Amino acid sequence: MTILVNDEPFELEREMTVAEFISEELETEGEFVILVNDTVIPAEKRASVVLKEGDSVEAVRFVSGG
Amino acid sequence: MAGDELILGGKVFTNRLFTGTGKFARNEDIIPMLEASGSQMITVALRRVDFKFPQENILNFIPKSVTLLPNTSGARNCEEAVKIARIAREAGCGNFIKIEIINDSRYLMPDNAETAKATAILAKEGFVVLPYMMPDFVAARRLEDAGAAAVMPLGSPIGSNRGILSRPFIEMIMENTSLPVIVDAGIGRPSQAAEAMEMGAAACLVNTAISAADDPVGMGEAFSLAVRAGRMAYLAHLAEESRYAVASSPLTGFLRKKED
Repeated sequence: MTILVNDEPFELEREMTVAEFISEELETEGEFVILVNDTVIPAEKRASVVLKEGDSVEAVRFVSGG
Repeated sequence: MAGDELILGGKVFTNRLFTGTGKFARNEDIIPMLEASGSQMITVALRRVDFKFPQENILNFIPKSVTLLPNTSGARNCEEAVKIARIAREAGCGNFIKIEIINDSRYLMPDNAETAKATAILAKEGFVVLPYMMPDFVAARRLEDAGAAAVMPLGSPIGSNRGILSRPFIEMIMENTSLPVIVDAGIGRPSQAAEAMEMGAAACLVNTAISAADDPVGMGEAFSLAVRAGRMAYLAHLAEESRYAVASSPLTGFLRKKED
């Protein structure tokens, strides 16, 4: 199935939770904030939210800035 | 200065220098800069993760005792700024938000009208809203009515280090609103920060001038001293200016022959 990750199409072989998606698919370390369809998914809910076809996932992070 | 605290959103600030995390050559310098300057509030930005070139999580470089001021940089309109603010709060960064809405890439001028709209929405949602603005007292009054906790007029364009070119217009804001005025952007030298504080600014937000200095830690301390000196001068009330000399020694009893 296809989802959007930061507006780019992303293929997933199977349905998975946000927690699985982060640990299996995202090749980056450290903390970030995850939004699914514009809603922030708190860390404690990542294991229970399942990604579906067409979902839009955003991964954002605090960076330096004035 | 005991008793001279700045209260924003119920938080007490005893240091009136606010700082930013942008443009440090080494993020490791942020903690010693905060220690040397005593700054109690620092800005951060929110960006999408670039999985090819992931940036460091800046929160790892900021002590918990320092209040975070997430900005909405990157927002081009009210809607985008509101979204960023909500994400920042959901992510556990607290209630403070610096609204920064910019459409212009050459001077990075803020859009006051969109900023007022975002301020109204976010203040109703319980944010402590600090809007970055073009110094226009009519707009500042609108921001006050919309629920801003302070206004942050620019001294000169972001990162330009040109000082307080907008001085007369910032003075008009001070005269025409009751909000704390935090001079943000363009302050390039400690003397300019002192100038802002002498004028009656409640605080200064200084980023580039500190982070881009050869020694950001030393510069952070220099700005802190300047802000403190300017604040003390403001509280002590500056003596009047005069076009002509006004002798400071007695004008009688000179050691010379009387002229007739």
